[in-house]
Amino acid sequence: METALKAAVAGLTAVAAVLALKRDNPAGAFVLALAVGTVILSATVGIFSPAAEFLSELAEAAGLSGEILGTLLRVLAVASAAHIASESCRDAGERGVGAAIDLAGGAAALVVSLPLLSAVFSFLRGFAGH
Amino acid sequence: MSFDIPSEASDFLGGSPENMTLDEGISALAEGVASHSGGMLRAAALPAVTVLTAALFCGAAETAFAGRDRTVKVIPLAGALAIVAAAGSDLAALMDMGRSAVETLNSFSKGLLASLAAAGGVLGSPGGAAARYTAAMMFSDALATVIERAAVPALYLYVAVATADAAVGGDSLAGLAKLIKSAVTAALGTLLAAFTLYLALSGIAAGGADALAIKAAKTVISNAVPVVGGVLSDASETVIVSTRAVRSAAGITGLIAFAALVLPPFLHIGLRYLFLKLAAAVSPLVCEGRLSKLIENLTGAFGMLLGMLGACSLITLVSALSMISLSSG
Repeated sequence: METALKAAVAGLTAVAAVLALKRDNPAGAFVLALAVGTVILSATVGIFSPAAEFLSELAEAAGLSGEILGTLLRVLAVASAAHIASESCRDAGERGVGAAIDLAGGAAALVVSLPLLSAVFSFLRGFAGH
Repeated sequence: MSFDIPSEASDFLGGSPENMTLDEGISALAEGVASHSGGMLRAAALPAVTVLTAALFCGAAETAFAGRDRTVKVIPLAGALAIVAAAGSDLAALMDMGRSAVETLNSFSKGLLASLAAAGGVLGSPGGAAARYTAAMMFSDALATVIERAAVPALYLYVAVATADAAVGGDSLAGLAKLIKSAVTAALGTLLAAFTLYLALSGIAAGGADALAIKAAKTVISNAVPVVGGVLSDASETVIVSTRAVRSAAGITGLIAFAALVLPPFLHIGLRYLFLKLAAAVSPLVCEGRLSKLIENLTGAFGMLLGMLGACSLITLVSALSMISLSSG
């Protein structure tokens, strides 16, 4: 709650500053936006630690490999980072760079999700036993 | 007693069912269910919670990044894989449990039915007992073959197609998944329909039971056993009619042992089915349609597994009851 409020206030203040800077110093405005975005993201990471602990407990109690939900969280983290970076590039007018980051993010997320694919295949491999 | 009681049945009952009266047997079964229910409920709830948690995370991420770029498109794909990986490991374990239960049941039923057929022969119906034993074995073997060679592989294929459908999106493979499920239902249903037809033609299912009891049993079986519940319910009249004839010690011991063998896997799979069904019902609130549909389809896979076990159990039960009714006159 407190973190979310701080993030909202910091974000709005940063947007006001970026708008004021943008005409005279677009590069500085972009750097400021990125810096504030990074600070907000860093603060947000702390919110997820109780959720990660809960997931770990859940996976252990369910007798599941913690890798399943852990991998899913890694995919979401990669997707989030790539999405935010590509949107920042688009905001700065660099649609090409944004598309490249999208592509790289999509590929990275697919690679990160390989353990999930492997788990599904190991289940479906039971088909070979019949 | 000329048939062996499987150790699984004695373990569940907390002792051998030999020399138990029907009331003692029912009481032991109820105690067995009560003592195992906590572990079973926990084991059934956790995979459903895990599946729902994966769906919740994907739903939250998709809502946060409402966009159409490539990275956002990967989220439902990863979510579908995570959901199938979580439910799949459980489904595989339950398939092993179901297979083991069917094998034990087949081996037990051969001993039980042979013993009951011999009793029927001694009491003056050697031809009828032999014919019923042969028919029961034939249907039981045919069902086991259909399940092992067609239904279980089809179940894997169904999960694979449902996963691909959720990963790709657009309902492009939904029709194929539906077709596989219908084919499994039709195969099991046809075999059970042939069995019930045999019962009707051979006069085993002759009337005499309370119409209200039959209606209630049909409703319960039809609703409790998914996929093939409708066909199974057709045989309920035979069960009710024949249950009245259960008086012999061998018959009572056999039926108690049968129930103790069938109940644990049935409860395990049934509870998984119910909890996953609950997760599927809640999932539209937390994630997008295709992940929700995937959870619903996985529920269907557990339902098919339950249907296979139900079909095997019912053939054994009805066969045993028909033998008992013969030996009881």
